Amino acid sequence: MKTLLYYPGCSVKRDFPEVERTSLAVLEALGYKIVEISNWYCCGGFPGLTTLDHVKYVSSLRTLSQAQAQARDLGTDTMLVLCPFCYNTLKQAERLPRERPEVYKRVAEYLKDELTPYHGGLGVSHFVELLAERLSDISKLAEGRLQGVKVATYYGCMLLRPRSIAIDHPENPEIVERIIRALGAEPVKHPYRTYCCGSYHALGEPEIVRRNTSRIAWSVTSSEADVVVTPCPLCLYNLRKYTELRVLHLSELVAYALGIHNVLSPDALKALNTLKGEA
Amino acid sequence: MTQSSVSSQREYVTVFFNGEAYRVPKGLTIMKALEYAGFRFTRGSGCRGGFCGACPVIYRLPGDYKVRVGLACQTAVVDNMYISLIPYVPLVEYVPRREEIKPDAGYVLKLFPELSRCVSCNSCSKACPQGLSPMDAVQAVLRGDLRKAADLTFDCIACGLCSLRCPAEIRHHAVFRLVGRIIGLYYIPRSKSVEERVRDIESGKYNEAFKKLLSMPVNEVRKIYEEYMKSGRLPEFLEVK
Repeated sequence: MKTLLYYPGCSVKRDFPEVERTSLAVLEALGYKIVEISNWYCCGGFPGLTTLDHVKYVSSLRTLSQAQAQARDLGTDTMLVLCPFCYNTLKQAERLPRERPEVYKRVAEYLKDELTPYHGGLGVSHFVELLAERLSDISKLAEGRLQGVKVATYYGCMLLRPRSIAIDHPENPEIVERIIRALGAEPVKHPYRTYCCGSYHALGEPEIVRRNTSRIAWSVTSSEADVVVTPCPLCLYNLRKYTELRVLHLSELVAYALGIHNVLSPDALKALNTLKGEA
Repeated sequence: MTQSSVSSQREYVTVFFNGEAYRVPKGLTIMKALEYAGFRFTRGSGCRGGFCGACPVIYRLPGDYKVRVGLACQTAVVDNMYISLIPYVPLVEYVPRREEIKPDAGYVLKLFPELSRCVSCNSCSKACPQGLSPMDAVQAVLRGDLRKAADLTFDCIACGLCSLRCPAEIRHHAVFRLVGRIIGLYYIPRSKSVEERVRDIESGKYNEAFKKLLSMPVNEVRKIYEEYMKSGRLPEFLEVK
């Protein structure tokens, strides 16, 4: 049984407990043992959105430093991340020692009187990547529960950009479609799959989010999908708030397909049951 | 050893305060040393035992780049120390009425939006004279774990040094007080005995005994107290059942 060191992230912990519940249940069904990092901090994604500076890496490297020690004790080299924002920030921080040594040096210098600096070697993996490694197991467990359901994917930005940390091709990703196919459903592609939903502009300039999500909604609707799934809690929030789309977190669809229904929220379960009825 | 020989052997150190040098005996706290130098504390001094948080101080030591912090009543003077007192850290807060308070991290963030600017630099924890970790508490609030935030900051003395050092300008002890109130209101079981006692007092159960006690001459009250300290016994009129 492979152990995953789990980094939850603030949004998932505070606002999307159902995403955590379903994602972890799915990974456990696939045979992973999940251990939450005993001491973790905000990834730094939020303050880092406005200016790209060194400060945003302080908290990521702090988390990675502590995770590194715990990973050694647990005998694992994989850190699981659920939120794409956290993935983006942590993955970039994880690569700093190798790719931007001058930035790494400054941040490590700041942290060194408190912690052993992070040296590299921890694999930061997003939920989607872990699923994509286990496609045959997924299709075995899914038993064709989603036969005939047309599923559109909305990727958002943070798993695909910048290119250096993208989990798949940044402009024409296939990774979630492969998972959907393994579940027995039918993936449908649409042009605005990787368009930005407007992200945190929801706080300051909601008009931007309204405009972007309406384009995404048009794109999904014209693809004739039955449902749209996204791997990102913030995209989920924006799409639910600003559009009429039937939208689920990817983990909810997977949990349903694998027959793990007790972790689903009543709303998600109802939506998914309706889907199957329609198909 | 006689009194005079102690003073003749006493070692002295020099400290700098407000740009002036003062010779003060070694081993004193900053507060005592400044009093020795002739200053009188009218603000920025309280319990003198390290618990009230009224006397935060920042200082530098020769040859060290670090800005150090502490409590004036708890930190011993060092030779060539540069001292500045912080009688209080200005802090504007809205204190909600109890009915408005919601047991929810989103509510805390609404009153203190600067919390989400925390970059985990840990300057706050380095400043804390109580050895707490305000950073971990702020992070706990951000992830919605108010219980943990309250547990981590139970010993906060509200000196404000963390807020002084925070690059995100978080108003730490105001946040912690709000979190503490939320925990007290919504998480901790209500104390039955306190409620009963308050009910008793309001019903007038102790009025008569109090009236009698308050009208007694002081030395009789003292006698009652001394007897109680000796034997644990109270006169009959105070044993209200």
